[in-house]
This record gives sequence, structure tokens and C-alpha cells, in this order.
Amino acid sequence: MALLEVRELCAGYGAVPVLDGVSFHVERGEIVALLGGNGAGKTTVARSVSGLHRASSGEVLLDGRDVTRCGPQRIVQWGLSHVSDGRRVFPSLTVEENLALGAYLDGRRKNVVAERREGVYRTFPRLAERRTQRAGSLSGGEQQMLVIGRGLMSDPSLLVLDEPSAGLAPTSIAALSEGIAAIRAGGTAVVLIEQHLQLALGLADRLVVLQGGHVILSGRTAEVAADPRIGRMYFGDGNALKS
Amino acid sequence: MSGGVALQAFLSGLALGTAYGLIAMGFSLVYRLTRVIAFAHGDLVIGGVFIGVLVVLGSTPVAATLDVTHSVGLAVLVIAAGAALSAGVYLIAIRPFLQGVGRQSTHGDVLGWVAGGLAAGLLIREVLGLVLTQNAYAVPDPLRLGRVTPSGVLQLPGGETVGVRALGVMGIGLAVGVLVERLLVLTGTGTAMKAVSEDPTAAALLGLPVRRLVLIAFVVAGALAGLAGLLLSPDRSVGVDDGVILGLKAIAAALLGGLGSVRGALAGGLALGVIESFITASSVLGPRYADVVPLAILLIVLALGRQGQRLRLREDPE
Amino acid sequence: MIVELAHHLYLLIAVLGLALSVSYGGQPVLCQGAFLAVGSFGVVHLERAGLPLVAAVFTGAALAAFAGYLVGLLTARLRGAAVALSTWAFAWLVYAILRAFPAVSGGSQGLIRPSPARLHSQIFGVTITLTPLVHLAVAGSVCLLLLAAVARLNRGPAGLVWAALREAPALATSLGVPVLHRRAALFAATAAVAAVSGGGITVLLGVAAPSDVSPLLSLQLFVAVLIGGTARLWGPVLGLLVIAVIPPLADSLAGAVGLPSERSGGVLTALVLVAVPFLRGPIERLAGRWPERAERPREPGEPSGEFAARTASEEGVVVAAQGLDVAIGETRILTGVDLEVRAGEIHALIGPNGSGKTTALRALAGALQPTGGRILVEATDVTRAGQLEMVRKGVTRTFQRTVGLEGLSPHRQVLLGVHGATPMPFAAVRHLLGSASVRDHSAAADREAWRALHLTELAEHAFDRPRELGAGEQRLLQVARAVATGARVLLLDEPAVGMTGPERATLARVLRRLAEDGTAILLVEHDLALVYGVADRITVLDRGRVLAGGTPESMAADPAVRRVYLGDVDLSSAHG
Repeated sequence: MALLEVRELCAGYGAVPVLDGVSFHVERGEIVALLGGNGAGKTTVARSVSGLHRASSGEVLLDGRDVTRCGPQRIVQWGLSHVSDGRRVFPSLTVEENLALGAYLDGRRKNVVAERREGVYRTFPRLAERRTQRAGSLSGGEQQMLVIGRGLMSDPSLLVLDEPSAGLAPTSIAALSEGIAAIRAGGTAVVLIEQHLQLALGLADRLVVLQGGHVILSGRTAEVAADPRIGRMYFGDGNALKS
Repeated sequence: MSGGVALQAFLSGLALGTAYGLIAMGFSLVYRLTRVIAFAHGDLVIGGVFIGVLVVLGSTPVAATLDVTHSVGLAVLVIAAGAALSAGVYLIAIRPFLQGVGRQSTHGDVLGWVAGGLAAGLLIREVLGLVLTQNAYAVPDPLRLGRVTPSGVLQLPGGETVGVRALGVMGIGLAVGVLVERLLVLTGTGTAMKAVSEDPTAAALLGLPVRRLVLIAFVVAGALAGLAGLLLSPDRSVGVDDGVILGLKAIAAALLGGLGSVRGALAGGLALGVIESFITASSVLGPRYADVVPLAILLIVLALGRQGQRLRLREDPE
Repeated sequence: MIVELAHHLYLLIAVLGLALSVSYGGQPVLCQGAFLAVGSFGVVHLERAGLPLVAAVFTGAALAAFAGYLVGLLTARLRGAAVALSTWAFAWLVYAILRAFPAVSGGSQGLIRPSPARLHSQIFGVTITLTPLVHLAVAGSVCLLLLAAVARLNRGPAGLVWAALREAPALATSLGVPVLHRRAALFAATAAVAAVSGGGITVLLGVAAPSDVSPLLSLQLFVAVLIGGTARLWGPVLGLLVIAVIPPLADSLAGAVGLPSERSGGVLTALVLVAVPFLRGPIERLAGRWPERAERPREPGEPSGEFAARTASEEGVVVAAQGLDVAIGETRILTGVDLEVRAGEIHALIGPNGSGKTTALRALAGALQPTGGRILVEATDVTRAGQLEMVRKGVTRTFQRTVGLEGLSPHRQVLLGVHGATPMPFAAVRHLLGSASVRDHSAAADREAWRALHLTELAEHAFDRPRELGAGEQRLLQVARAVATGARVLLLDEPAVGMTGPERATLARVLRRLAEDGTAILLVEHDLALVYGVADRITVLDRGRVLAGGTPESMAADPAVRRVYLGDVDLSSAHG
């Protein structure tokens, strides 16, 4: 049984349809990159899967359980953690407080929370140095690590990352890439929504490519990356890819 | 204005301001979490007081002296009534219009919750008005602060006096205000509320019970309003319609203190209370300006205040 | 009985006035009672000062209009909820003043109007006794006049502006509509009409009392407008029914259970107020038949004349940024950005998410004040110009998200662009009076609108319902509205978002056509296929700085660009 199974998902905002029958699945412990241009519906997939947005039809199965109509609280409990785009830290709270909120549902089990926090610090050592600092004063790369770390605090079996590399300097992206690889090594599956092709291709086991609310391509990374349509989407033409 | 009169005005202003501050704290707390302007907030104060009095006395209010049981009962009831009214207003008139998980009011049906809040306040006033037909009533003081000393007053340097009650109001009000503010900073629930106020969507994604936290905020705000009514009403005769201006003054205080800051709201309340007290004591302006000036301050701060930008009172340019 | 009816008709006048701000302007105004008070007490005081009745009413209306304009300007920047709060506070402020100063209000008894209820005109030598029947006629005719005037205005340019004010103020600003002043003007009109209503009631009843203009009245009038909603004709009438029915109904209900009647009116108002937001959906569905189908003005045959000159093609730089710095709060977004857009050229601005493309575009459009550097239009420094001034100078932008005007056909939406950029002084007044210059102006505007529709290949959808347009056509409509402002420089923020392949081809064709027409285009776009296919020049932004610039060919080959924008794809690793 797949960890996450999305079947014929349709969703939209008001009268505007965004997703038109999206299907894909994620196995345990793998990284699936969701690619596509702006407006292709990647973020809407993430929002529908995590219960922020109500799908108009279709099904989302998490670990075999139908979560299509569930709210985020239930979905977090069942092991899916969604780190939305835009590095949304709680700026006036400290790094440690931010992390503690990530384990809010397990807040009473103090030693479990502390253990997970140490795990996050092992994944992102930079955060440990800044544990008493306010999140608003961190650099962009550190904030991104913090929101990912916060997402890990609920000990999820699946982490959905929306555009983690947006606006980051190359060195931060390298650190981010290591962090994501470490997360997978720890057994957590990742859905990675990315514009940064290198990061996505370097990390993902499989790719799912969206366009206009449809899945136009999906499969093992090497096979999909060889498809000329990817080149066209990112480079303007297929040939530029081979230069 | 002589020094003695000024000191007297200052102290009674602080007492009045403490009550304003407590109301403003609740308003600010609710605003911070939901971006909802609680239009019925002032009516919770008066509503709490009259519901408590009606239940305890079983009749329209008189300035009766209460025994200990009734005093405690009245105090608890007024605060509980304020909290219950606040929760009721939120659940019935505001929440239906805040759609989506973790959304703040700027995304919901604004006209809906504005109309809902206004209607809730009006309903509280008018339903109470069906029973309480006089313009104003004297309300008993369950805290019996006035009888701490035999005379009930303290002699001030300069020959003027100040009621012991005023000092008691200040003491109790400030203690509770500071306690609530500390609790919001130090407890896990307080931290979670702060998270919701800064980014409700991110908070919801972490599994925080956003709706329950918002409900708690409304309950706390209502209880603070009830307490303010308990402190405020025995000093003056109160009518059922007084709630609106009380609420608007509290909003002015919250704005003065930097809307969204609970600590600032308490400080803003104190400032506004002192301003009002000096206006009343002044021979040039006098009591007739006691409502006019705070309302004018509210309008000016709303239109020109800089905090409007930060806390989304202003329209997004995009 | 007749007195009551006349009283209600006067209140209907106030409702119609309030509808201008609430239903048309989209602002929740809760202080109509206060403006009514200005008319009521103003008339008595002015008459005591020796003014004849008619003059007193008009002076009162002028005073109220002035006050309304001020309150309108003060609240124009605020969000809807804050507008409701300010106007609610204003209503209580006026009420508090009336109660605190008996010299103004006559105390709880109110002010008795001294002069007899008679109108005397020396010029015509007639004297009219103001019987309730005369009041009924006056109030009735004012209502009808107001209804007719508002209906007429709503069909013209003013109606376009109102739709934009209530549905998409940001869009209105981007098309050159001075949103703040339009809102304040609507506020002034609302207040003036309220004052006329207040004056009429005072003359009818012979007394002006604070309790008659309490904030409760403001709430009741607001409720009446909400019930009327967007329904043009029967809405206000329904609202009037509510006003008229509440007091007697409350009386009889209160009488039946033995409760004081003054209060039960308020209870009913509160109940209606709670019910209205829930009822609004159904009411609007009933009223929301698509109105534009009935009127389908024919496309004029002759080519555009007076507006066409503005797009005259000129070689050289039209808009330029020099060393542009932009910071939002503490965060630096742009650092030393240089950018030039030439007439007849499509200049693409690309870069990864968060690199500052949209910020650069907003700064060029005057929507953001740069913290350093200069912006030039031709050779003029326009660094401090606001958005409205930039539109006048021919620089118009579109938004990244699709901003819709649900109630307007594409043709009318495009017309809004024309009127926004070339406003006519006192257009609303002139339109009401039917002046010939307005007709010429509208004809020219109509031609200009059709030109924009043809350029963007939307002419055949000119009268479709906006929500029935495809996503691609919606995006093209954004471009069309901007084109209609007569822009020489178009700043387009991701116009291709959500477009399918064929729609992108159409967009590329439209952009080329606009460029050939002499328009300078700055294109922010993620779709590199589109960019390489259509752009003459490309600038690459990375974390707020210009990384590289040049022709599409040189950019595609530039290794630095590939690295930052594409993450230096080395497919051998992926294949391996």
C-alpha cells in the first residue's frame, strides 16, 4: 500500500478550476518531486493533501485512510506534515518555541519533544546555534531550515515541502539539499515541490510533472528528465538542455 | 486646576483607565488572533453586569448592600456572564463568516461579521432594555471596596480626597491585567495564540487547534470585560446603552497602545482614563466632553495612526 | 397617516443616498443618521439665522457634503471593517455632541422649528402651505429623481468606476482611477442626500430631536440598504418596507406580551441585521440576472481618432530605471537595478522566484516608492510619481493574479481602462445633464475600447459573461484593460499564468502585435519558451540584482544565467 495515494483530485478557488483530475502516489521513504510552471497547480495539490483546501472531487488516501474531507489537525496526527511556501516562521517567537509548536499535539510528552528537537538540530546544526534567537532575525536559509524542522517535530511519515529553495543563496541551497537527503535517510518520505531543477533532479526518486492542472508526465527521475517536454518547460527549447 | 485636584483627577483617572485597559486587552487579544473588530465588546461589559445583578437580586438593580454569599455570587456571575456572552457572540455571529481553516477575518465575509457583531451588541442592549426600562441604574458593589476604611476615602495632600474604592479598583484591575498578560507570554497556550496571531495558516498546518484557541481568546476577553464591568459600574449609575461608548473608548485605548498588543492595550487604557478624568475635572472643558474627546481621539487615530498599516486596518494596495 | 407616509419617504431618500456609498461604492457606512442630523439641526439653526427654508436646506446639504467628504477622505484608505468602525464611532460622536450640548440640539426635547410651515417665493409671488400632502409630493419626487439619476449614472462611466471601487480597488488604481477621491465624493453625495432627508423630516414634524437621529437610525438605514443590496429598483423599496414595518410590528408585538415598545424596535432591527448576511446570497442570486445582454452596443465602424495618437511609435528608451533600490520594511528587495524598456520592444524580466521581478515592476508602475535610484519616463524623472500619475504618463501594469470584475462584460471592463486614463472633469455631472461633449467623449472612448479588444483578440468575447471566459481569455482581458489606458509602456506580470499551449501562442501573437504598434513592453514571465519566442531583450534578476542582460540567444548560452536560474542542470547525473 502506498503511503500517499492521490486519485483524480479536482480542486479550484471559487469558480476557477485549478486541478483537473490529478493522480499520483508516494511510497514510504522516497522523494517525489512535483514539477511544473507557475499556475500549474503544485501548491494547490499540497494544500488539498494537507487539508487546508477542500477538494471538489477525488480522493486522498494517507496510509490507506481517506483524508479527503479531514482538517489539517487530523492529517498532522496521521503523519503528514506540510511546510508551506514563503518560509512562514513565527517571527516574534524563538527558534525553540517555533520548534515546540511543531510538536503541539504531543506537547505533554516533554522528553519525546526534546528528543525530536535534538533530532532536528542534528539535521540542521545551524539551528542549534540559534536556539534562543527570534525566528524573525534569522537569515533566509536558516528560516527555511526552521520551518522544515518545525514540520519534522510532529514526527511525520510524509513531509510535503513547497518551494523550499525559493530566494535562497546557492550555499543555503546546498545545505538544504543535504538536510532533505538526511530526512529521507531517516525514513521520512518527501513530496518536493520545486522550481529549482537541479535540486529536484538531484534528490528525487521519481518525478511528477503538472501542467494546467493535469499530470502530463510521471516516472523515475532519469526517464522523465530525458523527456524533451521538461526541457521545453524550463529552457524554452529541448536543445538548450543538451548544450 | 490646583495640585490637589490634579492628583485626585490623576488617581481616579487611573482607576477608570484600569477598567478601560481590561476591556481593551480583550479587544486587542481577539483582534490579534482573528483580525476581527469586536463591535459588541463594550456591550459585554454592561451585559455581564446586568445579567449578574438580575440573577442575584432577582429584580431590577438597587444599590443594595449584599451579604458575603451574594457578593461572591455576583462577582463570579458577572465575570462568567461576560465570558459566556463573548463566546456566544463569537460562535453565533462571527465564526460563521470566518471561512476556511485558520483564516483570519481579512479573508472571510467582512460584511457578515461586522453586521453580526453590530447586531449582537444591539440585541444585548435591546433585550436588556425590555426589562430595564430606566435610563440608568445604581448597581451594588460586590467587592465592597468602599468599606475598607470607615470613611471610604483617603485624604490627599492639598485637601482633596480620593475614594478607597478607586485605589482598590486600580489594584485589582492592574493585578489581573498583568497576570493575564504574563500568562499569555509564558504558557504554552499563550505561545500557541501568538503563533495563530502571526500566521494562522502555518499554525493550522502544525496541527494547532486554531478554532479552539480563538474561542479561548473570546472567553478570556469576555471575562476581562465582565471584570471591568464589576470594577466600573458601582462608581456610577449605568444604563443598558452605555456599552457602546464604553466599547468604543476601549477600542481607542487599544489603538493608542498599538492595536494587537495586550500590554499596550492596558497602558492605552490607563492613558485614556487619565485623559478623560482630567477633561472631567477641568473647568474649561468639563464632563460634557468626557465622551466627545475620546471618540474624537478614536477617529483621529483610526484615520491617521501609523499602526493602521502594520495591523491591516488599511486596505492592501494590491 | 399621510404624515407617516411622508416621513417614510423622506427616510427612503436617506436610504437611496446611503446606497450610493454602500451598494455602489462598496463601503460599509454606519453614520447616515449623523448626516441626517446635520440636515435636521442645520435647517433649524440656519432658519433662525434668517435664511429662507429652501436656502437653509441647500446650505445644510452643502455642509453635510463637506463633512461627508472629510470623513470619506479620512476613511478612504481603510479596510471595510475599519470603515465600519470609523463611521460607527462618528455616528456616536455626533450623537454624543448633540446630547452634551443642548444649545445645539435643544436637549432631549429637541429644537422646535419656529417659522410657519409655509413657502413663500417673492419672485413668483406664490405661497405654498407645506401640508403633509405637499411633503408627500416633494419627498416622492425627490425619491424618483434620485432613482432616475443613479440609474442613469450607473449606466455611464460613473457606473464603471463604482464597480471597480467596490470589486477591485487595486485594479481601479492601476487603471488610473483616483480611488480615494472617488470614494470621498460618493461619501459627500451620500451625506448631502441625508441632509436633505433630515431637513425634510424636520420641516414635516416641526421639530429636530437628538433621539430621532440616534445611531440606531444609522443602523436601521444600513439594514435597509443591505436588504436592498444590489437590486436596483425594488431593493430600496424593500428596504423602505422594512423601515416602515419595524415600528408598528414592534409596537404590536410588544403590546401583545406587555413589554415596552421603544425597545422592541431595536430587537427587531438586530434580528434583521443578523438575518441579512445570511439572506444576502439568495437576494443577490435573485437580483443577479446577467444585465449586460440586453444592451449590446454595436461596434463603431470608423477607426479610432483622438486617443490613437498616444501610442505613436517612437524609437528610444521610454521608461528606464537607474540604480533602483527598493526595500520593504527592513528587507532589501532590489539593489542597484538598471533597466531600460524601448518603444516597440518586448523586454523580458526573468529570474527565480523571490528574485524581485514583481517588485521591480511595481516600482516602475509607481506602486512602490524606491529607496534609491531614479525612474525616468523619456527624460523626465518620475521617481516620486504615484501610480495614477504613471498611468497618465502612459505606464500601466497588470497583476500577477487574475483580478476580475464579475459584473461587467469585457467590453465594459476595457472601457474602464479608457475612462480611467482619460478622465473628464465632472464627468458624472455632465453625464447626468446629457451634455454633448460627454457623448463625443463616450463615442471616442468606445472606439478606443474596441481597438484594445481587437488588438488582444477579444472582440468576439466582448459581451460574454466574465466567468464564462476561459482562463487564457481572462488573462488577455487583463492585458486589454491595460492597453485601453492608451499605455505606451505595458508592465505585464506573468500574463501567461494558467494559460494552455494554444493560449500562450495567442498571447505571444498579441504581444508582438502590440510591440509593432509601438508599445514598449516589460514582460515578467516564468515560461521561458514564451520568453525566448517573443522577447527582443532579456534581463535576468537574481536576489535583487541584475545578473545579466542581452538578447535571448546570448542569455540562453550564458552559463551564469543557467546556473542561477536553472540550478545548473547537469543531466548526466540524473541519467546516471
